Amino acid sequence: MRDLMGNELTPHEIRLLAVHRELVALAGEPLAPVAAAGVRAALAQIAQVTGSLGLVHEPRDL
Amino acid sequence: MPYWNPKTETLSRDRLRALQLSKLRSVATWAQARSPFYRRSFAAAGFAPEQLRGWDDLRRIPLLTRDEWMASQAQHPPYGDLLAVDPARASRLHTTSGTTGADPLRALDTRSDWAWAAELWCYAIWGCGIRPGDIAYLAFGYGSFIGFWGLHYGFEKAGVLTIPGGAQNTEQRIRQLVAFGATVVASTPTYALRLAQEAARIGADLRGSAVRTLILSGEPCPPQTRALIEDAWGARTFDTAGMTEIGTIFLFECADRPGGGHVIEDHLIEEVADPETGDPVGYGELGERIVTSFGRSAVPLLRYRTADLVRKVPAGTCSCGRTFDLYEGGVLGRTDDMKLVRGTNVYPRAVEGIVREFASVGEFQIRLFTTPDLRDEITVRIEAPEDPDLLGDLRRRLAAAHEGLRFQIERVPGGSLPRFELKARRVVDARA
Repeated sequence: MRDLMGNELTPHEIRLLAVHRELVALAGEPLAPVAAAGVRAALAQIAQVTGSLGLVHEPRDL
Repeated sequence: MPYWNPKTETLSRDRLRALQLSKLRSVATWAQARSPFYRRSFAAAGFAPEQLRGWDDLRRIPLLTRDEWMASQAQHPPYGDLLAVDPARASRLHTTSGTTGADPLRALDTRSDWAWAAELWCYAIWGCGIRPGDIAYLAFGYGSFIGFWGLHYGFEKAGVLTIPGGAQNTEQRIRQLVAFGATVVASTPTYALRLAQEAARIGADLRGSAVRTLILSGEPCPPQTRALIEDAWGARTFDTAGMTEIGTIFLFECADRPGGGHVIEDHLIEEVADPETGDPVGYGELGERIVTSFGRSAVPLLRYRTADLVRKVPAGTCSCGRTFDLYEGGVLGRTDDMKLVRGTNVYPRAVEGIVREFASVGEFQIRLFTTPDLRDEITVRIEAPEDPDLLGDLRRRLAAAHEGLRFQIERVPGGSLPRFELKARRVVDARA
């Protein structure tokens, strides 16, 4: 896997991207409000990490 | 570790361009898919995001002006049709400060947008040496103007104890920040000076306090003003610059303080162009900022003409190791704040720089008016103690810097001129 600059991802970056992907998937699930709000908040934060590291850039209406 | 994000702050320029181009494609695609305004403007310009193959394709994207944004807001109230999200998905509404007298822009943001705003502030917080264990005091009113809201969240994110100094008068803020042992204070340059003046009045010792860093933002800050602030506080100042239109900052000064601020280029594209022709200008040339932001999903900003005047210099100008270019001297002024007086250009920032060379001057105001025989005049009104040399010296310094233009200097009683907590409005243009 490569980042947006063409670099190979580090092991930490692979795990961060996996967390991001899992939160994206969870955000699309019919969760209870207590879980849905927390997942959206967490996704908003992890998206900054993956965006700042140049792993992925996906605007979202979170 | 001097960098918040060592991976991108030290990227080679080629890799940085690749990152920017990738993010640009995704933002342009998002804008076209979600914003009626951008669909219309892209179609009118014959632009499609798929055309973004190389760096030069950036200029295929049409420019966006504040007038267009305001017109969109008027035609599609209350938020305009730049909006790329359902307003029901937004979490906050803020406005511009209204400094120019124009109707304020209304900007909606999502949680994700606020997370991004805080992220960009963290580049500045970390870059100037603030760390967990610091105590930050925000001398700011926490209203609908976006101001230092993003910095507040940035401090929290960076692990800094954060004290909101809202809803208090200046004296209360001074007593609080001293009593709580604040090591960092954030305010506009104007308000930092006002805090210092008030501290002197009530006998509070700022130089003996724990404050070692001031983060300044919200208005241009000439070196002379910074020198006064640093002397009064016994602390180092760091310049930042942002705007409501992007919801956060675009520039920060690093710990090496090279006389300018780094552009946060992994999150933004900053072009500099001739304000008249729109043609790009080179390093070292004065021009207008044109910003493209990658992080605001509710209001994507693509090639927005800011009216800010800047002079870009290469990253190598600074010794800190970052590869982000800089704006020398920060934001130098605005294309719309220049005043023409009897054929001479007068920039308020330049006048401030000269006034601040005279440490005995407290507050000041620039007043333009027309005489009965229809001649334009410019008066600088100053609050200063009696000094037989001051008025003449200041008049001569101002004239020498403005092609011999005659300035009138008027001494006014202390405390009679307006005070400002946010952006100062020191120019009164009462010309017929």
